[in-house]
Amino acid sequence: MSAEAASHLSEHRITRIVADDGAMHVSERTHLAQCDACRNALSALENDLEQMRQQAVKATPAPERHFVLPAARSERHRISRRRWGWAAAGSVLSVALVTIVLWVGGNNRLPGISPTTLPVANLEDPAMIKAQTLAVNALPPAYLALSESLDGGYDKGFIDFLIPPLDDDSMS
Amino acid sequence: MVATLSPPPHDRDTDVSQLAAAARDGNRFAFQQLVTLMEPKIYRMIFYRTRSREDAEDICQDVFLKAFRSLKKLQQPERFESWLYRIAVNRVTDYHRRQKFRSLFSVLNDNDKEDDAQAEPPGERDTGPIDAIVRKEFWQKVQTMLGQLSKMEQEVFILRFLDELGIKEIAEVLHKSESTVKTHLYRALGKFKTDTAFRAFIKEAQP
Repeated sequence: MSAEAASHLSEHRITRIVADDGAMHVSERTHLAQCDACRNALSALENDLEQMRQQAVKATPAPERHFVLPAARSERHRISRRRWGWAAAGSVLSVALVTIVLWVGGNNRLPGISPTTLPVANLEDPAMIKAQTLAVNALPPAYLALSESLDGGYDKGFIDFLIPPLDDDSMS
Repeated sequence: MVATLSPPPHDRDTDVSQLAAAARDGNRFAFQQLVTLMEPKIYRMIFYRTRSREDAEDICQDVFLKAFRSLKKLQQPERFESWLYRIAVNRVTDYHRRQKFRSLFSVLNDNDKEDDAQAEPPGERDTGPIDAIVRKEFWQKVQTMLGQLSKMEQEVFILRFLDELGIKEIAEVLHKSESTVKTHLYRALGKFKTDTAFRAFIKEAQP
């Protein structure tokens, strides 16, 4: 290794100078001013990095959308928002009130009487007994008695004359 | 804090930190200027990591929206840029996490990816198909080169040499010490140096 080569900047020192954006010791600066080899090595590395950066910029498509600042909220907008807030709160409160009223009303409509106990309880009511009797006997007893008395007065021969018995072949 | 629409009280050449301070104080015009300044960088930064225009656009929207909503929490406006990059890095990490989850349903996903690739290769809408092929090849080569690096080396390398952040900014973005960042960066750069195939490809592609 010659004395000149020994004094060249090492690969690591060249790397460090490039990484630190040209920051270097006075001795390094002095050497670079005198040594073409080191200066070429340094500039070759810097050039490659710069080429890479430029090509990266060129290889980046232009954006089609740009950032747009959100619209500023005016005082009017704030008031309008507050009104909408109150309206929404009012609506929620109304719905809650209606729900409570319906729920309470529904409970009061059937105060503890179950459907199975209702007919048993009412059968002791005289009016209900009468109604049940009427339902079972479609005609009142007085009317039935009358019809029975009328039936007793008809002559059997007269009835047979009116409605001939089926086994009678006199008509054939 | 009152939101205003008037221009911030400074010249057009004022740097990002002053705009960030004005935006933090409710100046929407200042924030819009910050978006104009930073959106191309942030969009590219996201695209480098997603390789999808649509996804990059979506994430970019998210990043600026998050920045706009959280700007009041920013204590040091001079760190706005690294703060924004940090939001972007986190969003990209979330994106990759979701992608990994989706890859569990690989059969369905592969079909979707094929359809997407056929429907819209990167940048084909604004250039010809040859450009699209060149771009695709470029990103494949980059991916191969980055494949030799660890996750942290990749992140540091891309932030330094593609996103052009300084070591201090990278340390802020990644919440690491500067010496840690340098260690990873030296290793990454060492691997880049020895990847002669990739360096030759870069030189060939040089106009």
